Amino acid sequence: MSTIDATKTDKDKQTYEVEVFAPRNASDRRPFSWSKHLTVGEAAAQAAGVFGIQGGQPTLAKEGSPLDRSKQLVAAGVRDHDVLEIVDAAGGV
Amino acid sequence: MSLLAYSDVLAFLEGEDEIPGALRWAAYYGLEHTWDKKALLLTVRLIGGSDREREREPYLLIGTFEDYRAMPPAWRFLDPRTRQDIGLPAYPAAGPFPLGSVLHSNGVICAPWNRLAYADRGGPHSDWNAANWQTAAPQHSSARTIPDMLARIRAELTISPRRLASLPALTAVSQ
Repeated sequence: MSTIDATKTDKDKQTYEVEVFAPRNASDRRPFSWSKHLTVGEAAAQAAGVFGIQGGQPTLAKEGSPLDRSKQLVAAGVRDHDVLEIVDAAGGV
Repeated sequence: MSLLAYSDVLAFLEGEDEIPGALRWAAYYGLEHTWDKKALLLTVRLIGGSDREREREPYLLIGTFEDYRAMPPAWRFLDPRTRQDIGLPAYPAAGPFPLGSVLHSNGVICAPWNRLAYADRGGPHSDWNAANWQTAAPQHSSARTIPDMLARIRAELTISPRRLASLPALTAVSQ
């Protein structure tokens, strides 16, 4: 994880430093450094792989709300230093 | 008739990623929960939408684990006041889940990881086979562990606007 530059605002930053956890162990937060233009789906898939979560269509949830996988992180509401949870987002019926 | 012995089911459930993980997850979010090891019954009190504007209200989720992991758990919502099975009023309505909600309008969590979604248990899916629940419907919601299922249900509750129907008066429930 890179050093956080406190002089930059969220708007200036191109890369977000966030922490992600899987539901099975909420205390095991892993750091990720992502371009704010990465899609939520791509970021979630990357994180899911790190946690060994297979199948489905993972997304990230912020404060309980699932984020749209098709949006870029910045557009989905992710901000620098957020803590995000991996949640399945595939459709129900 | 059960497929697995109680001791086999309990051995699966006591795996670090299953009930212990579910209890950690509930504690992390400060959610009231209970685990009845003898009855293999998990309860989690979640918060969801309300008909009363700008208010949130409790939902009582119950998981039972007969034949787990040969079969998926059975997840249902009960009356949060009385723990009685009251059908639709116990269930949250679907919110705008990005790729489609698992909250069915007939009062079932409609996902391959819920035993109650299958037709032989009263659910809508005669096209799924519970014996291969982890691969039965790859295009639909996937959750391989109990904490993964809880996280999906909580995410659904977080954006659910209201109950499927209003809670009945308590006097009507007790009759």
